[in-house]
Amino acid sequence: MTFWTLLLANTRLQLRNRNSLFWHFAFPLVFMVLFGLIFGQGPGVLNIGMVTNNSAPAQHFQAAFNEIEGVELIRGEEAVLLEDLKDGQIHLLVAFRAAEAGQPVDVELFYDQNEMLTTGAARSMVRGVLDGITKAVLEVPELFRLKETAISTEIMTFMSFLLPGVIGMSIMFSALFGTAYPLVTEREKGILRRVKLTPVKTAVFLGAKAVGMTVIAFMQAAIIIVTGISFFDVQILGSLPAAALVALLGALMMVSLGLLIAGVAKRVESVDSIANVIAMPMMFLAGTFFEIDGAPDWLQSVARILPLTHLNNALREVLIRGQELAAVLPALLTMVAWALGFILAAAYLFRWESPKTQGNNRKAA
Amino acid sequence: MSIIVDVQDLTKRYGDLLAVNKVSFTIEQGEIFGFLGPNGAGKTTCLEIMEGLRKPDGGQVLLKGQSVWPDPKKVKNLIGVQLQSTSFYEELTVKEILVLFASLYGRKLSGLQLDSLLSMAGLEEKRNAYTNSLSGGQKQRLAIITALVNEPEIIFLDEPTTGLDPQARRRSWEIIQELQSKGKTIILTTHYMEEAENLCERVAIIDQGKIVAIDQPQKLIDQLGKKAKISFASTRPLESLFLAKLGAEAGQVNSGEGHVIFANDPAQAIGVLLEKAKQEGIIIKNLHVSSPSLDDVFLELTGKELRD
Repeated sequence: MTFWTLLLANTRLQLRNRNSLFWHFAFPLVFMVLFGLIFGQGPGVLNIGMVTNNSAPAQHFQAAFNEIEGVELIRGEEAVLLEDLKDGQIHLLVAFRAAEAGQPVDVELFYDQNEMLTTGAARSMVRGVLDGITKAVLEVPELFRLKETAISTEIMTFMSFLLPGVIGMSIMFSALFGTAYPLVTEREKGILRRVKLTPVKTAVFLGAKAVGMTVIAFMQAAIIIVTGISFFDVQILGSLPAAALVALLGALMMVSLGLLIAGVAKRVESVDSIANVIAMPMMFLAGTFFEIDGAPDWLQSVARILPLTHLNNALREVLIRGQELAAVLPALLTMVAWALGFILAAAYLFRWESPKTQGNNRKAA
Repeated sequence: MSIIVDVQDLTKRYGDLLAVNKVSFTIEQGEIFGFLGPNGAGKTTCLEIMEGLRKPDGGQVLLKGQSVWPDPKKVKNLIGVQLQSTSFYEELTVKEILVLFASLYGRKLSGLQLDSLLSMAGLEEKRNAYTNSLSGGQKQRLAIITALVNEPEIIFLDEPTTGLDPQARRRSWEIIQELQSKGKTIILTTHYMEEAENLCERVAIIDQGKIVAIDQPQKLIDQLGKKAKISFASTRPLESLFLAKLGAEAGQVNSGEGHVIFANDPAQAIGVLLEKAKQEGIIIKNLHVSSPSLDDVFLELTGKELRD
């Protein structure tokens, strides 16, 4: 009963505090939306500019492209479209020149030679369509019968990659700050001394805080997942219960680290700096927003052992790639190991009284 | 009446400083017992050792026959504590705080218990108010009733009225007296002389970690052996010769900011004072006659003013 009352009180404290509300729920959403707006379009849509001469081939071309998904055909004046190409608004410009009847239609392609990958694909697409039109007009017998089978690719959209990272990052920030900040405040205000006078067991008191943070972590994950599915077309392939277990382990690991920070920080002001020094580099190194393949080897080795790396990877494998828990067992075990290490260190460093209150009382005794 | 608190040779050292120096005393069940002393005298340290928050370097504390040290857990359900300068979780309401602390003792407050605690503290209207909206007096009273959620027999109150206005202070005294009427034993610290005089049945005057006197407030005053305290100021500094002559005839003279004569016969002492002043051409101002107080006892015993 003590545990539930404490859990209820802790949850109330978190949800009634505007600051912690923002950091728990608004902050991850801001990340999702901002990154979605900046990178969410990604290579998904190809913009092809078209200058038409209203000839039959041009109309065939237009009709063919209207059926291809992921390509936007933008018609307009050549001069305007050329400017758009230079600004990067369109990837390719196709100009159908006026032609006399019976003569081949001149088609001119403009592309940005710095964007070979995108424009290369677009150019072969244009060539393919033009070939198709030629064959159709000349009624060339088919030499091949092409059968296309769609295979789900290993390549994720950026938002699918980002979503588990944002969940991992949110769990980290919320658990670190949401654990360390209240605990150090309670210690400074002398609330912990008052609690120490009651028969409550330390494990129950801190356990209620840990479970409270886990509840917050689940709420965050739910909000992020729903946002990802509704607004960013993220496909959740994995099982949610499996993902919940990963999030649970991740939350417990980060709460333990939060307890450790509360043990190290002597004053409330130090919580900010200590937690940020730990969380900020970890956020970038752990593949929250992007893979760090480009980083030097030694840095990648560091990144591979970080707690958040394992949380992010396990979430990504389970949620987006649809892997079984067994496939991420090494990551899960590593997280348990981190959690145990943090808890042991935190237990060693935990204090009910701050040096400050002791000092005051000594003076005022 | 039986002895419920038994403290023997309590000693606590902070480095070179002897914060509590061989303090011994006993308290009877149902008593309101006060530690009176200036800041830094060792009151809080003494209290916190008795509560189990601070480990003593020597001596022992028995609460209802149970030794507090080395295992303070054993007395946690016996005592209720209001710490000095209490703060609470700001985003919880009064009711939630009481329910939470009761649960830390493994107890569930009944509606009746909650109502009676709130009405004792005059906080019925504030039951659903967040604690950061309470006044200083209301916060202190909440701290007192929070100390009662486990129905303790011995209640420790560390400066329960410090910083409160006189009206709020009286309100807190009423609560403490109500607790006494329910058979609770109350141990408090204060540096307010009126509080010790009006509220405490016995006080221990503590200075530099030592108990310098312990008795009923009136008895301590009586022990001064002086019936009246005459205080006055003068237009120009008085020579020590004048004070000596005055003292020989009027009573004991203490010279500080003003001058004070402790006299057994105030009428005669004032006569002597005015006559001597006239002879020397000194004008006496702010002449004031009163009964001696604990303040004077304190000054007599320690050579210090009680309040700073």
